[in-house]
Amino acid sequence: MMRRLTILCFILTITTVSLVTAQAPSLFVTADRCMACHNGLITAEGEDASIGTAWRSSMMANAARDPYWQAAIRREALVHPTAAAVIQNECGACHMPMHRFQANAEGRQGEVFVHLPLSGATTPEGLRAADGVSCSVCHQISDENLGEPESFTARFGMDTVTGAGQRQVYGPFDVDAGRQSLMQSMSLFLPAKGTHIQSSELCATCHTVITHTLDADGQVVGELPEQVPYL
Amino acid sequence: MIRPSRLHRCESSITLFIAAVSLVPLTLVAAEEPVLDNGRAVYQAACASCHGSSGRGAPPSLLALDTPPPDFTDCDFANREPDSDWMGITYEGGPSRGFSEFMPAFQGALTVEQVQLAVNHIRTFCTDQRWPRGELNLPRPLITNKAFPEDEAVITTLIDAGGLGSILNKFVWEQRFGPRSQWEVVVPFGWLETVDVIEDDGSTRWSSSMGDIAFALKHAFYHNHEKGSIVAIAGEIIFPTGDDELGFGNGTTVFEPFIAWGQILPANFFFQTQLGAELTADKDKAENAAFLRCALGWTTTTGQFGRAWSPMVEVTAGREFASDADIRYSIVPQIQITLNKRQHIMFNIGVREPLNERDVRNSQVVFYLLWDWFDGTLLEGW
Repeated sequence: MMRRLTILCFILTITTVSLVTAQAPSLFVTADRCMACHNGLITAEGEDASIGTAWRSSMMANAARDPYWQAAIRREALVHPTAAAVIQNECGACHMPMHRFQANAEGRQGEVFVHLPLSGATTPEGLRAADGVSCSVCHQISDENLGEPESFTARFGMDTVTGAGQRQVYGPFDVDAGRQSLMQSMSLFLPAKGTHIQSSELCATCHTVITHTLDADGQVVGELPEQVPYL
Repeated sequence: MIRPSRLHRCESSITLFIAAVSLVPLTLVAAEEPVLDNGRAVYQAACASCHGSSGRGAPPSLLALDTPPPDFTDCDFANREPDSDWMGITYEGGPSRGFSEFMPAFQGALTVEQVQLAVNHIRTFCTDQRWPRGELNLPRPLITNKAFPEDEAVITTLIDAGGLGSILNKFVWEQRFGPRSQWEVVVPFGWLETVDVIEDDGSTRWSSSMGDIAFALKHAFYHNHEKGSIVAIAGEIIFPTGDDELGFGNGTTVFEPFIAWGQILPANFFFQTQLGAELTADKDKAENAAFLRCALGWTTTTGQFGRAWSPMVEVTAGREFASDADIRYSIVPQIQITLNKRQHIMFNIGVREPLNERDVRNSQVVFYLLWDWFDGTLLEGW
């Protein structure tokens, strides 16, 4: 009897995991799908306004590579091993957002240490983790609850239903149909106008960080406003 | 109490991000829409950011691509394929031909005419006119040799439809060298059904063997893209490696010089012909002979730039030099189809039907599988 139940539980688990995995669309692409077209931009005055190169050397792009952050989260996990998974999932939201949100969409926790060192990333998941705060993170954030506490600490709104190839990314301009299909063919995203992309409230979703304090049993017992420049 | 680590302060990140976003309107407002009425303008507007103004490809550090853009100044690469292939990839994107997803589809952003202008400009990057254009690479008939030098592997099978069984195969490996030349190795092998002379009861038995291995050189000494013509001369030495007693070879060395001509005709028709001779070292083993092979065909595609279909009809004539020999005529209706998206793996099937001496010559089913190995491995491009 126990053997049958075990087999049944195993089949149900596999089926559930398969269904959850199959239902989660691929939410992100890495920045290499964007940079080729969004580099080499020269203004009428001759200034290099390449978005790709500006981003690549930014703290955003290197959020996952930040050695201080890696060391800090390692220390926290070593000191508090029972909360290691929660810590990785929480901190990965802003430092490895593509991996973390994709994992959450698939019913998993975001992981940090499994992707270190980032220089060895070859799998799609590893590459998403290494790409930091990449183009398809910020440009997919919707205007839902922007500026409101509900959007802080990386709780921004994002479409988690539409499949790859039909997902929208937002920019400040209207894009004609020709350029829409051109960008869709390479980036797999449909560009759409969304002026909220220019608002500081969008940045505040990750840069208003209010972390939770846990007691010895892992229960939330308080909050700490770690980073609140928007407020 | 457990207090998660304090994350580093990122006010500077916000500043940088807002600065980067604010650059976008500066760039786009300042730029004027270019007038895309010539090849250079279209190329600069649509292609140069990745492929570079010089056609050599933009610096990899700018592109962040795993697959570096090809070098359009490399004639060995740039002249191989016809405009239609370039336009198909440009218009419908790399994945439409089994290439990189990082090649976007310009359909909607550019017109077909503008894409043609861009391709025309790309054609100017190769300045060595010795390389024949890909348009002259006409579909390969089952029997007639092409004039265009190729990088291909082909296995051709001929199966007799009547009489004693015969399954003959020919594996051909072709490889280009220099702008207009090619060498090839031919390895025949097969199975033949013969009457069992030992039992002498009318029963038959099958035997198998390798045939006469051949080595050939080909050189396209004339080609003209505007006139749609290409002419090549070739010489093939066929070594007596096969078992001639079992019917798998001539039993003597044969030299086969030939001339091949390919001609593009209007309305996607094409014509190919091959005229040659078989000169044997030992006339007791095999007679000298001459042959003429012609192929008339037409290519159509699925959609504007899709899969190619090329029905063809070949007529072959061969005659031994012996004074009483008759000319043997055959007709070979056939169709070549491209099997994969990249169109570098093709299949051709037809029937070789004798037009005379039908009492001693059988109909044959003939087919080949062709792999243009320069364009990718067998597993790529599906």
